[in-house]
Amino acid sequence: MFPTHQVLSVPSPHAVIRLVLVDDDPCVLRGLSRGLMMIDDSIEVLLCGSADECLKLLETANADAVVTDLHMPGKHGALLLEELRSRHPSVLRFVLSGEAKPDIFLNASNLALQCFSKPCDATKLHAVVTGALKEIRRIQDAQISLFISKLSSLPSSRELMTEISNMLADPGANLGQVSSLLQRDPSMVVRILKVANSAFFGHEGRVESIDEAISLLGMDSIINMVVAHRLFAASPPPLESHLNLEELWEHSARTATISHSIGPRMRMGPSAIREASTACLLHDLGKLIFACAAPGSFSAAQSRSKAENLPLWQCEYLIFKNNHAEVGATMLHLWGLPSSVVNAVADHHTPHHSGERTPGPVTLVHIADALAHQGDRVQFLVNVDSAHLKALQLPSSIADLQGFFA
Amino acid sequence: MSKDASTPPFGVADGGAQIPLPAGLYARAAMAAPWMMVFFRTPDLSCLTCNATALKWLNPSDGVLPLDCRFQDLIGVEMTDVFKNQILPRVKVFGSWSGNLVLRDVWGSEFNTQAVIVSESVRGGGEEYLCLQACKGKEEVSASWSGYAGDRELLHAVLSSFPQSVFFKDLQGRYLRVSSFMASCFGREEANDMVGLTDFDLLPIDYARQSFEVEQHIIKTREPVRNKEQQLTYPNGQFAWISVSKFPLCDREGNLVGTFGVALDITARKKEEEQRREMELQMQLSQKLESIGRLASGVAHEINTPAQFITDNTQFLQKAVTPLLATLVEYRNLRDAIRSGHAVQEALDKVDAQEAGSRLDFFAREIPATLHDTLEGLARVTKIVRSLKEFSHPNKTTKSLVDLNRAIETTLSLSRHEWKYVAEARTELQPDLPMIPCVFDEINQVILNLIVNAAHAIADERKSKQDVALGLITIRTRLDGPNALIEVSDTGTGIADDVKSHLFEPFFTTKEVGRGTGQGLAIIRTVIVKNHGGAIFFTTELGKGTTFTISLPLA
Repeated sequence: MFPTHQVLSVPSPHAVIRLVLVDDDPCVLRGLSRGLMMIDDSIEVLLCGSADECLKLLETANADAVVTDLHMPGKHGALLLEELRSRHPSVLRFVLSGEAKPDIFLNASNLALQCFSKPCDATKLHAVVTGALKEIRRIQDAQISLFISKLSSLPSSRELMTEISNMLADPGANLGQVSSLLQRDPSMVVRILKVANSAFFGHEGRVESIDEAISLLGMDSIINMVVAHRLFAASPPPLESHLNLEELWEHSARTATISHSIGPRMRMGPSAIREASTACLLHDLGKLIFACAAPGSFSAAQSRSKAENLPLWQCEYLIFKNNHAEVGATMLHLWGLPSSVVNAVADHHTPHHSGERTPGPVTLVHIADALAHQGDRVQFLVNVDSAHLKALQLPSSIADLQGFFA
Repeated sequence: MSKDASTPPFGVADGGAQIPLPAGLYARAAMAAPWMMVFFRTPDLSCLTCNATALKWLNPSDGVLPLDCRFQDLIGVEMTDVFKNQILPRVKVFGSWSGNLVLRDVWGSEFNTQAVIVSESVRGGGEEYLCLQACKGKEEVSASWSGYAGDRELLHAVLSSFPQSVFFKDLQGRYLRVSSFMASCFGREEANDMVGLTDFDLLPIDYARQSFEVEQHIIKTREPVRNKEQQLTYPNGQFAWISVSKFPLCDREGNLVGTFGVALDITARKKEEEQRREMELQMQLSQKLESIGRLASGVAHEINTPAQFITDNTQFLQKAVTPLLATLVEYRNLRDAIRSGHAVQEALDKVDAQEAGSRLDFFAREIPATLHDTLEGLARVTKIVRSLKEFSHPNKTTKSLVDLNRAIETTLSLSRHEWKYVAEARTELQPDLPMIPCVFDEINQVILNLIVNAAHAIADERKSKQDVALGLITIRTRLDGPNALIEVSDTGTGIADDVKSHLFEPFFTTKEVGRGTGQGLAIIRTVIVKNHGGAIFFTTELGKGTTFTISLPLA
């Protein structure tokens, strides 16, 4: 059949990215590799005609990312993704398929970071793949970056999932009720937004809120995803991490609620508030990643925060060389969420990085987060970026903010 | 009965002297008489009382007379006019009448009698009473078709309880007897109420005329009519489907005396049939939608794939053209420089510099392949679009001459997504196969269903054997006498014995949910056998495969 892992690109001395393409149609492989090469000569493209060829190749060669077709003779693309995930967790997984059935796509979107549907512009594919690689390489701690690249689902609260399933089973439940219940579970929110933002539905990187996602995907797909999520959701963070999932969810929900009420008073438009409120729901997912991937170290960061009276995110820097905002944002970026949401998460402790000159989503998440932490059971030092707030002519201390928005 | 009706109620004593007898004796004698006696009042001729024999003859089952029974109700159908126009006036004028009289019991059964009717006015003619006395003629007792008490009972049992319409008519189409069920269908309480009426009195004129004509035909030819299905609207507006059988009615001597028949109410069956037909249509439609949906996602996949690499390749060429043209310009400059002998080295350096950055060798190798791939992709798209167009040819719902070979090629290429991951497809089509009259749409659906089934069977077989080798679907056409044959063979699982007999049942499926609704083969049979007068059969061997053969008549 097709020659095994033929290297079509001109071997380039400064190749920094090695990409494996898997497709049973040689024309697709050749076309895509030609397209990619003309865009970027720092990329080396290896071609495989089947899933098994790809697995064989990876036994001896390293690769940064794999882009695979789904429907192939021999092993199905979904099986390849599963094997890659367990055998080569650091390799980023993408799907490029001409499949037109939503259910097959839903299934695959779980196993890959992102799914592209044919025909997909090589430029877009290149941008997403290289963007993802750049993003994951920003994570300094190998354990954390491996966890993120391997991650297929986040833990959820069992009680909440039961409640959601019950509501979805009730034919009388309306969209608003379902949406507000789903928003109490950030893991479910990410999962739904990931699917809604995948190329299959044609709105990649543009679906910012769970309401939009529900109306785009339809209730049946949501039900399918909830069922799958119940079955395959990761187990909650171990006790030694000292992260309580319920508390984290409550804080996220509270932050989102606050963002809704103070957003208009910061003269922000509805779409910016919508982005911010989704970011609020997701802003602390990095903590969950730390707690699951390295429970001991994350616990140490918390102890240090208390002992030295430093904000938690700064202590995370000291231990992981990244804070939870960056780690969470990296995961959201990899999963293809809208960049406005990703950015608001990434800089929610360092809003001056955002370059916002007027109050925007990043600032809103920053303030809402700080306000929501007041009244926590376990107190860490929470500070606000006074310089940034001052520059935006906003109250620059927590007390002032509380007074201003009271 | 030779007794003169005008004789006064006196007994005849010894010596001819008349002596009065007690009135009670008269009354008891009348009541106990072995012939029937019925008393009526004028002018309405309503029945006052009757003796035991009358009750026995007129209503053998109940032994009572209906309350509103009148004289004319007891008169045989054929004598109604005679009774009214001749007998009654005679009784009125002469005070009595005697002769043969056909009487009718409350069930409508008629019998011949020797009868006497006398009248008597009470005190000055204010009120007048009639008395009918009748005894059955000899022949009546033994020869009437309903004469035997046993037969009458049987007949009565049938007529009063059989839940279908049964009727006897005379030569003129008048009802002689009908079943109680039939009477109730016509809104009559008593079966009797219909006696003497004709269809013209009961039913719309068109229906009545048709019915009358059928009966006259039977009377003329003595040929029965069986199971004639017709629609009927009863007087109360209720609509019914009935299946009518009518036969000639003969007396003992074989003389034709009328017709009789049965009308079975088949409304329920007709409705069921209608529902089934509708369901079949629905099923066919939904199966068609199912296969179109299946095709649509397959076709999308088949087009998306070439679209992917045609786009990639074209973008590649677009980007390659710029450095190539730039290189070409440098070469042209070099040519000009050589020709003019001026600044040759400079031009040469520029060519070198340009070439170093333009990957000319790579392009030289890659561009022909790129164009080749692109053209192949366009050919794939063209083929699939053409097939789609042929497959979904509009308005081909009536029979037309169809090139089966072409239909097979089209469907095979359209359904490629269904089989290409599990099997190769091979065709052995008889080239000079004549065009076959069939419904294009339906035949396409049949072929598609067979191909999809074959692909599924092969997929299952490969799964069970963990087999990597592709299976094989072979489609053959050939001529077989007056029929064209289509054979679809697969190297799949084969069909288990317990499944074979259910194979063509609607909604029977061995496939998991989502892979088929179990209508495919049922539809195939409907289409082939019912709509095209063809046949379908199969041979199968477990683990080896199955061959479905469809035979379609050439004309």
